Amino acid sequence: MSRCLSDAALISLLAGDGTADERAHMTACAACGDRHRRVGSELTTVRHVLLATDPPRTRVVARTRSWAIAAVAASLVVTLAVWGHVAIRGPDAPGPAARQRADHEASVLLTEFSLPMFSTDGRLAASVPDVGVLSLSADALDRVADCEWPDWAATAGCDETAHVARLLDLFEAPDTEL
Amino acid sequence: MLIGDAPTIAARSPTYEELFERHAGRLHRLCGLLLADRDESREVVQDVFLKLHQARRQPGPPCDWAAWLTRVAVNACRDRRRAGWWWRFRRQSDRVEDVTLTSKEPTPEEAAISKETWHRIWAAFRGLSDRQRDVFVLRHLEGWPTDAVASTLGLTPGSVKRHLFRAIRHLRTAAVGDSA
Repeated sequence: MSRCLSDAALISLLAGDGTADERAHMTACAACGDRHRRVGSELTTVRHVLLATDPPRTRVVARTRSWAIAAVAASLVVTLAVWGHVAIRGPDAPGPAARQRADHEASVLLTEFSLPMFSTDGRLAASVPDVGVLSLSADALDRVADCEWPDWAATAGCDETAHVARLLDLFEAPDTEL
Repeated sequence: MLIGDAPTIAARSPTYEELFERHAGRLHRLCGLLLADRDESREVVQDVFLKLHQARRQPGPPCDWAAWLTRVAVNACRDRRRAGWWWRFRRQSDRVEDVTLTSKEPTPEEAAISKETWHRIWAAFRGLSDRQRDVFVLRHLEGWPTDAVASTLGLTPGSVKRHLFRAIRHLRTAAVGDSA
């Protein structure tokens, strides 16, 4: 064996393992002999420190600090996760768009109910609110006072518009009219 | 060397008290190195001697009690390390001072070791993996042969040598310091 021993071979020799060739080389090679003695001396120091001295006492502070940092980091992550969840999904209360949608749906529903109610001849009074209830003047209201069922068609001055207006009056003020 | 004294032990079976007096300090030190926790090592040693008491009452006791005690202690330490996160939390956060050691008197060699070197070596030893620490302690501090270490730890002899080489390389760097 002409090549110098590797560190692994030296450590193996120090542990009592190693081959006969490695032992022979270490005996013959001054450089490997010096390395062997140096490694042995370092291991003796390590062995002595571990067997005959107390370990240092500085570990508690470092570990406690690391756990404190980990706890703070975990709480920050949870806080950010909750904040992100709220920011993305929004609060439970409906927003303006949702309120507008709900109002529209309610309006449509009420319209669907009210149209059959105000139907006069089986047809849906789709234009009832626009017929002129709000636009009727006081004279017109007096003129249609008699435009009630069933003789409105034969009454002079009564037309369908006046008749419907009269009916609306009856529905809106049942206590006074009935 | 604690292995190989079987003929001496076989000549007269030692009593429990003799075994305790002979090996309690060594096992405390061994478990202290493997666990880095004085309380844990004390509990492990108590368990080991409880098992010794039970083993002595059974037929066919081992002929080499020193090796048996070391093997049981090492396995108990490994079981402790596998016990879960709570044990690891205690190991990393509890105090590590006042480990029972073989000698309290400062020798000239101890006095020659600088405080910095002493600190570096302990830090490097704690930085070893569990497997490297087990192998180094059994092979270099307890003086076990490679085959016995491999058998106890469930490794191959080649794996023991690899772990030992890495552990020694790490510890040598600490022992030499920045000048290495």
